Amino acid sequence: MEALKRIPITEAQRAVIETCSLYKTYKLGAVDVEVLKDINLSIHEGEFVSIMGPSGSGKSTLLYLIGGLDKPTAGSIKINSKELSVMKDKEQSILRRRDIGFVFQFYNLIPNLNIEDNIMLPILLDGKRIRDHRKKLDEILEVVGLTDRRGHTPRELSGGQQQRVAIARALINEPDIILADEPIGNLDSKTGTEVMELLRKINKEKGKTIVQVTHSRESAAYGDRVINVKDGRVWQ
Amino acid sequence: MAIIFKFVLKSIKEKKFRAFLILFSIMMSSALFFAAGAMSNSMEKMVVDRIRKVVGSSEIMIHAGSDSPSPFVSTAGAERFKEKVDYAVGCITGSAVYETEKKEHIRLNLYGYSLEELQSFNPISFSTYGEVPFVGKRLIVSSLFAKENSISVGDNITITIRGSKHRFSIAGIANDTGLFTDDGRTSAVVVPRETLAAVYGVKGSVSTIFIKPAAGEDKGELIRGLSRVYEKYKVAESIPMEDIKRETDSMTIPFMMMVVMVMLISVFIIYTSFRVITAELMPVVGTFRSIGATRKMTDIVLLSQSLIYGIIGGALGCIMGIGILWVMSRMMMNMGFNSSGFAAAIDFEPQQMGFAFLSAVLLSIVSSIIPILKASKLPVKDIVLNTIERKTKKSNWKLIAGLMLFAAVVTVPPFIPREHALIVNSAVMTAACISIVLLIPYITHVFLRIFEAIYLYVFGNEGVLAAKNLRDNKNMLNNISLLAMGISTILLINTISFSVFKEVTNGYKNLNYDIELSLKDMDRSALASLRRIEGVKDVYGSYITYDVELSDGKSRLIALIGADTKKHLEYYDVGFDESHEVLLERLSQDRNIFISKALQTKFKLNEGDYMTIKTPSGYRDYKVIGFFDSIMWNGQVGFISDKYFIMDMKQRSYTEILIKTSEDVDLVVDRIKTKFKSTSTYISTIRDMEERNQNSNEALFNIFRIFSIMTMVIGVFGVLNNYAISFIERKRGLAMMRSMGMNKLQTVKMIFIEALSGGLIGGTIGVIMGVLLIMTVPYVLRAIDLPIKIHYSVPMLLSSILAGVVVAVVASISPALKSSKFNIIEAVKYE
Ligand SMILES: Nc1ncnc2c1ncn2[C@@H]1O[C@H](COP(=O)(O)OP(=O)(O)OP(=O)(O)O)[C@@H](O)[C@H]1O
Ligand SMILES: [Mg+2]
Repeated sequence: MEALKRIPITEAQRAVIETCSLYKTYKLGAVDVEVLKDINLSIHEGEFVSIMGPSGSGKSTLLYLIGGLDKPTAGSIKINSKELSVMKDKEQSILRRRDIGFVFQFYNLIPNLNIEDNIMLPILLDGKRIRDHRKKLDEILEVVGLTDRRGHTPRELSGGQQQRVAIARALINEPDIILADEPIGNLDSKTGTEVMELLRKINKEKGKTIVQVTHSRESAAYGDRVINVKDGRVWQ
Repeated sequence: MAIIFKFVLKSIKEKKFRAFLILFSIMMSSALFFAAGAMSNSMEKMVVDRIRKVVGSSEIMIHAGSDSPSPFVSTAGAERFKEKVDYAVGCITGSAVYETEKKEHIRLNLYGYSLEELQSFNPISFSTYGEVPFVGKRLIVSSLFAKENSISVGDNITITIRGSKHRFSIAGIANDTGLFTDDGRTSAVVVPRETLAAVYGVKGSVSTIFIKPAAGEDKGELIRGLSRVYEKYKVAESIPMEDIKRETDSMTIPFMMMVVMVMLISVFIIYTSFRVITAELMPVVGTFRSIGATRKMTDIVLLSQSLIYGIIGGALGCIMGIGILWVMSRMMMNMGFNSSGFAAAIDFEPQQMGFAFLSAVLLSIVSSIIPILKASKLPVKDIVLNTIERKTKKSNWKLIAGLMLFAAVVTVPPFIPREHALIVNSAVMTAACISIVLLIPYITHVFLRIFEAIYLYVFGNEGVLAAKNLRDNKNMLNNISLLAMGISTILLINTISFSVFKEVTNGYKNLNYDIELSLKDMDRSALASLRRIEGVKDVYGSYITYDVELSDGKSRLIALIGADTKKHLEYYDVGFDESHEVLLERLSQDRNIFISKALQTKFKLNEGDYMTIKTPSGYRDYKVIGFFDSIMWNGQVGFISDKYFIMDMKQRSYTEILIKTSEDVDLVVDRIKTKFKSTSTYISTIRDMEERNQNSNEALFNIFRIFSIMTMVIGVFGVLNNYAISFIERKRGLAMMRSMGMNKLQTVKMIFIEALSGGLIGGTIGVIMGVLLIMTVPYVLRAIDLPIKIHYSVPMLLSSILAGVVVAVVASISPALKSSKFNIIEAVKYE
């Protein structure tokens, strides 16, 4: 039986994402919906982790909490050993800029910016000069295979191409962590495979930590480890 | 069908602000359209009302003119028309002075009537009447006069007529209406006609005969008949409707110009709104078409929506229009009308209201028909599958059309024919706006390129990002169009108002004297006695005839001046460059005339051409020997030498006396008043005249300002609406940026820089559009005989741009605040 390949955890490998007794409750009128309950996770540098589970189980919620896009009801999240909940908006923003790259199911490109500008957004937001990062852009366009499309607008691209732009955007600032919410959920199987290959390449060659939410076993097979979420709890 | 209607209603309900905006702009357009049209009616009514106070119900008036043998006209001639008239009432007019207990002098206008006749055509409403026959030395005075001088029926008062004192008893006191309406300067007094005839020494003659044709009689024919009998007198309509219409029509032109601007901005708003509305309703329409609804049916549903807007907007507009008309005629009162017996009046014809309503419906339908038809042409399959082809190829038709229109707007105005100034100019103004709106994407593009380069250094990366975000941003382009139209309209009015102010100021600067005076007897001895008054440096008696007809029978000079060759240019500096004496010498050598440059262009006259003037001694040819620049009398003025003036115009006494002072003007005015107190005088300082002139101009422009402010208000509402739409559309993008690490402050900064840029561009394009509009104005003003040069005010241009920035930034406050509060995940998660 072919088990998922496990990378042995050594002392040198430090945890880049840690959650401790994480709770998230949504208030729907008078009713409290407990979406996440007592989540304790530790994801190490260079790991490629897939979060799986039924629809509505809280996968996306967990991913967004890790990325600091929402606040947990209780518990702590540490990114690179820094506690998220004590950070101000400004500090969290800097963390999202430099340490985390997001990839979404629906690409979420800015329609009236061209591909180049879309990819360079994090550079702009970080207050860096575009012209100092031209080489980097060329490199990344090469990696995602869109060099000849750099001047186009998003709506002139296919879904797979758009998703590759989104990945390039997540990479431009060289974050340690990439968080992807169903990155191939909107793509056919062939383009889906292309995108997964790309993510694996980034994980292996650049040593980025990747956390993806997915519904597909094949896609999860690209990763090192699967975290199962059901009814707001983690079942390892 | 009913179900689509339901959707339509639902979409109106959901987008309340948009519905309000459409209704508001339709309402405003039709209200102002109505008010502008009815304004000329109301002005007509105001003028007619004032004249009616004197002429009563009469339709024909016979009186002496300057070439008549006597100021009095015999009633015998009218007797012959007895069968053809309802009445022919004779009236003797005169003036008197009453000295009050405080030794003040009040000028009285005397009307000699048979009371019975007067009551038949211009009845007095009595407050009290002493039940005595109205004969002999009896008077009827106004309530105001009675109250101010504590006079009651039966009292005796002494008045001075032609220098001699007369004692009268008060027969009655009239309410202050009709003939007795207070005009703030003089007081009307009715005297038995025979009494006044005796005082003036005329029997069987009167000053004026008022006639009303009998039912079924033709007025024109009667006038012609009477003219033959009263050959040397003026037989005219009591109410010169044609003249009044000509006057008020020239007021309508500027009003309509403003209405055009309001309509344009409304068309823009309705058009852009309907593009969004049809896009929103597309899925529903597609579904219905797919299950068998015809294209016609869905078109009708969409069109009925715009029809409903038109009907409701039109109805509200009519109500609103009456309100605006009321405010406008109130404001007219400030134009100096109130001091001469005008009363605020609202008058309009029912058709005008009908037209206003119709204009609203048309406005709504015409502006929405293109988006509706465009939507209805889409294939059902594409609508249902949401594969509506997105425009990818860039067509340049906008650029080409915009540039061509622009070229037309710049070149056409000099050729605007006078008779069609209103229509042609409305078209030119519309074209100017459309050309700029078409060019806005291109102009904006250039601006953004520049901004992108500059902002990096001024605002950092958020600035660059803001500039990038504005590229091809439809909402921002709409905002820029709206701002440009609003700002250009305000600029248009303010620049014209500023120019008129400047021109009038310059005009008064050319008057090198301090006081204007008219006395009862204006002859050389009057000049001599004025010269003896302390503080009077120099005196000049000036000859002027107003409203001089030219040979074509249509054109007129507002004023013809008979100039004293020695003194004239000393008093009126009209900016000649040759030496004064040489010029004026040439003037007195023959029937020569100097005319204004406005007249030169109006009649296309060159030096050496002749101008034929109608004088009491017949038509006289005057040779044009020079031109001068003047805005006095609207530039419709010429001057000839006093020698020929006296000869041809048959006028012996001066029209007015001009005085230069060597001491404080007010002091000198007081001294003149004391000296001439028993004779009726009119005296004013140039300073006061200028102030009154400027004030009444300002009052007029304030009325126009209502229109321009309305345009801006509609524009601002449009901008607010666009910001609301654009925020909803951008939420996802903003959430994206937040997820990539944009902090709240950066978001707010970016939104404000975007607004600032949009405002700057909108303001600048507004100024460009404004200047384009203003450039057409001199040609229109010339067509209504108002030769105003345009003066631009740099602070005004700059503050226009600033206004654009302020509006845009203020409008973006709410989206900026919202942007730092909304839920990122909500916006990112779903397609
Ligand atoms: N803003 C919210 N308010 C209330 N409930 C919410 C909110 N967002 C998410 N939920 C609820 O939280 C639960 C988990 O949502 P989440 O999006 O994390 O699920 P998921 O596991 O990502 O599902 P899917 O596989 O369908 O994407 C769901 O039951 C959802 O209804
Ligand atoms: Mg999910």
